[in-house]
Amino acid sequence: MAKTFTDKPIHQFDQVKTSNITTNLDKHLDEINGGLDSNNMPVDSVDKDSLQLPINSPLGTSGTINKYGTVMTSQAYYQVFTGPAADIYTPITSIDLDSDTWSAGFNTIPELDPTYEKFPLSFDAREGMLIGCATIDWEHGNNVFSVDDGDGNFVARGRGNDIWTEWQVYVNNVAVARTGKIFPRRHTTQIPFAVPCGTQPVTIDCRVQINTWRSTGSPTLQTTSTDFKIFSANIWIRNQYR
Amino acid sequence: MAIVKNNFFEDGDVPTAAELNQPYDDAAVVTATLGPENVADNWITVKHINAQPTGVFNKLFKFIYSGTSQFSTNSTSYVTVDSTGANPSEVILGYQPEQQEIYRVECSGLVTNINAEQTYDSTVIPPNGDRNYYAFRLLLTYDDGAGPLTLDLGEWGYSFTSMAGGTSRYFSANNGQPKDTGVPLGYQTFQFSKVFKYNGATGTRTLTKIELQAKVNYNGNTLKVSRNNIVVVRATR
Repeated sequence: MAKTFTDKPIHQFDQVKTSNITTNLDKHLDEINGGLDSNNMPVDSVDKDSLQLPINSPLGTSGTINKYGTVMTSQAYYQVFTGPAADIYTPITSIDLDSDTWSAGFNTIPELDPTYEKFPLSFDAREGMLIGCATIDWEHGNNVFSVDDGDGNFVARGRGNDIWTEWQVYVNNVAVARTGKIFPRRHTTQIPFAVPCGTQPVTIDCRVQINTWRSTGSPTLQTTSTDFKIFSANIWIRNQYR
Repeated sequence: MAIVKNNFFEDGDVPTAAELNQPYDDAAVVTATLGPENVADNWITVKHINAQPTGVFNKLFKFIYSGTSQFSTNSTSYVTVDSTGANPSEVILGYQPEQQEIYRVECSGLVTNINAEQTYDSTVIPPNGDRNYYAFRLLLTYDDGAGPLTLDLGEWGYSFTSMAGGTSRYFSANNGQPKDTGVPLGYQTFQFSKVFKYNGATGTRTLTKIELQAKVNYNGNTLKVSRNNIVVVRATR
């Protein structure tokens, strides 16, 4: 209510009924006692100090998986990250594509390495937008083999320059962003995304598709695929609801 | 609580002047200290937010270098990127965060014509291919009242060529040349972002600046960076 009016008007020469005094005054006091609304308040009257301080929203940690959140008046931030190792040149996990278990489809990080079972970012979202980013430092490089140069000399040559890797971000098992094919290298890939959401539980994870092949042609090597490595992985999300 | 009480009169009661005046006097006092219990839910609209000064909900800090001058390094320890020699890649913050506040850092740039002299170790044992790596980090400088301290906010890596580094399988008897051990990867972007939460007490720490730094793992290789930027979003409410 923006306005209130006298409920029991009193006119000149009327005899005042005392209960009417209570009724009339109650209507006005009810406005002050919790009924003040947008149109009662002056514009430009709210600053930072008028709004509640951020509130910690712990999501817990698990081994090397770090998670945390902060809930604010207009938005909430949540993040999960793991890695890097103390030495940035050392991977936190390395998958032998010849002998380890992996899928030709999209693999979650826990599917590649169960150590990171708790990696997906789960939280309770409020209706609004989810604006976030996944950042993964990974490597799927080509191999190097000893190859006969045609004159009987064995020289080093790269093999696997046509293999590729693709990362996608999934929100509640729906792909919302993808990188496209990335050819061999170590790369820190950033995948921004934005999706609307309701007031609901949300789980966000990133998945990778790995395309490789077993090379032949080297007389000296029996195993051929280069390892797939992850150095660090991180997903942050901003849930904007006001 | 800024609540105004009313006197309850029933028919036949004879209120005094003081009793009749009391609710008005009380209202005059409490309306100067209205609080959440006085207003309806969801009363705040965009029009009610004071946009001056900026930063009620978020505040933006940024460093942008969009030129073509190249920062070059073959240092194996981190050095601050400085593409022109007089404009280090750093974003000045200069504020004291409140507890549980968030600052979100995003950084990107362009790696130009790298010089990869050697991407493969001569040693047989691992980590043979580590020379192929270079890395960036974001370094926070802060002050808790006893002088500047630094905090490594994160590190992210790349490779000079397409060759796998580290302990991947490789031909181990060759001290390879770039042309032999992968395609040189120049003119590719780098990018990373992360969110940080301040857990300390409100007003006890001053965040001074965040720098973009780079290093290579082998000083025979040279990393070159031209345009780059750092964006920091301080999220408060």
